[in-house]
Amino acid sequence: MSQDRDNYFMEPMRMWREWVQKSEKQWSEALTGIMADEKSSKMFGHYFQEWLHAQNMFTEMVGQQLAALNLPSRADVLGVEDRLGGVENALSSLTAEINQLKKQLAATNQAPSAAPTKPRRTRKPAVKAAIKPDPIIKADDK
Amino acid sequence: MSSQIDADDKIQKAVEKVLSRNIDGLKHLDGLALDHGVTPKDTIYSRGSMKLYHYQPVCDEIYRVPVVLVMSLINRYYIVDLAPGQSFVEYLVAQGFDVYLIDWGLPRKEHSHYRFDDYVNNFIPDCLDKVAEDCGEDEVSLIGYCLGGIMASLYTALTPDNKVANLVAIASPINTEGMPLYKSWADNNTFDIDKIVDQLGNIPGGMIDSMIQALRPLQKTAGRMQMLDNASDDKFLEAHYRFERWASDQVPIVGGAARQLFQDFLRDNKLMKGELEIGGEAVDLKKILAPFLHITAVHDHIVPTAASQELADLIGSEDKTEIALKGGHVSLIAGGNAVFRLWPQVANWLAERSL
Repeated sequence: MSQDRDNYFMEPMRMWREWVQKSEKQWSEALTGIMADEKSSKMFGHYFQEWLHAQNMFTEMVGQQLAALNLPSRADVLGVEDRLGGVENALSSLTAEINQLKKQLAATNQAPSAAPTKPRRTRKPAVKAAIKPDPIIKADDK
Repeated sequence: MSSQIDADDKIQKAVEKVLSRNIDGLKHLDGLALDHGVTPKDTIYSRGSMKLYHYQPVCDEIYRVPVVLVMSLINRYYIVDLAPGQSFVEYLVAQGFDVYLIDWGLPRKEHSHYRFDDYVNNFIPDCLDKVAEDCGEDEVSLIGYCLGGIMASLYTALTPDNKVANLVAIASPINTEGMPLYKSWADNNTFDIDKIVDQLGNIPGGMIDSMIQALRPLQKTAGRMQMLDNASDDKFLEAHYRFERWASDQVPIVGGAARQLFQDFLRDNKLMKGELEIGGEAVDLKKILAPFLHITAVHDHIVPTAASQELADLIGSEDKTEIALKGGHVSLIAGGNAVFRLWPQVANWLAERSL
């Protein structure tokens, strides 16, 4: 106990950390309440519209500068990313089809004894659950 | 003299403790390189950015009805397969279930027109056909996490001859009146979703992350302080890094679905009011007659109980169960205690309905 108290005072930041953790929920709820307020909400809206407008203007402006310097813009890089994503997806689709074909071939070409055995779909639940679930709060108790 | 020795001793211990925290913690600087999604699986179908995985069974005898996990559009799938021992799918496979998972992947600009209609009426049925082809069973149990639970519910409600033997929704939002911050933003047109989608195509993951952070603005800071306090605890740090990496690895929302999320779900609360239309057809959750399980988290701040608790009431099934478990939105499915709470609840409920 006294050692705990000593450690406590040896670490002044610990008190601060513990306080933040304990009061986080209350502060967060208060801040969220402010953000949900109609006035704040509208203010966020205006700010967001401004941001969208600025983003649009900046993208166009920087895009023109980059084009003048013969450099790719973010839109160009994203375009390449999109095309790469498309190629990856097509490859993934082919891989999935090849895997399915392999499975079908293995099932038709091999002798029944050599074919990989699928698990039987006959499982029944155990009489008692292996792990006892935590006590639950039923909807009716809420 | 003795008090001098005591003071030296205390200082030495304090310094050793600080050093041990920081030196032990150094090896976790590359924590983002931790493995995830390592439960053995095969990609059995791929279409665009979407992939359908089949997890390799580990039991000689499995339940007849396969399980298909429908993931949310805004999160990476690996929250259900975070690490060996911290994996919902690994648990289900070990319990004798034949597990499939629909991973929506990372959408590109060319996918920005996708709407919930496409996912519910096209992608999910397509995947279920592939599952039937692969395992030879027509029926499936659908498990949807967060928005995935809503997508699975929409599919089940809209497909009259559907193959859904059981439906499980985990922390799925239904009533946006219970999400005051997002509702307020949607009501006040804080985010002009049409303008954003027109300009950006898909909603960037970083923007979604910021919106989620707004629900608990100080949580990240408090989490990092907690990490400092536990810097010498390898297990804590690994789990922390895994969560943090997953939380910041947000998937962009496709533009079309984002418009529906903001306008139909958040602003107009159409699903709750029974006014939602998917593919031109009104969604009536009362048409869901399959056994239904909904699990919510008591401390969920992303989908609070007020936003999720009415889902079971709207479902038509006679066999329906609603359970509230300790935990938050993410710890419910992937936290250290999930193995004692959510995982056995789902496995036990499904087991007797999967014969």
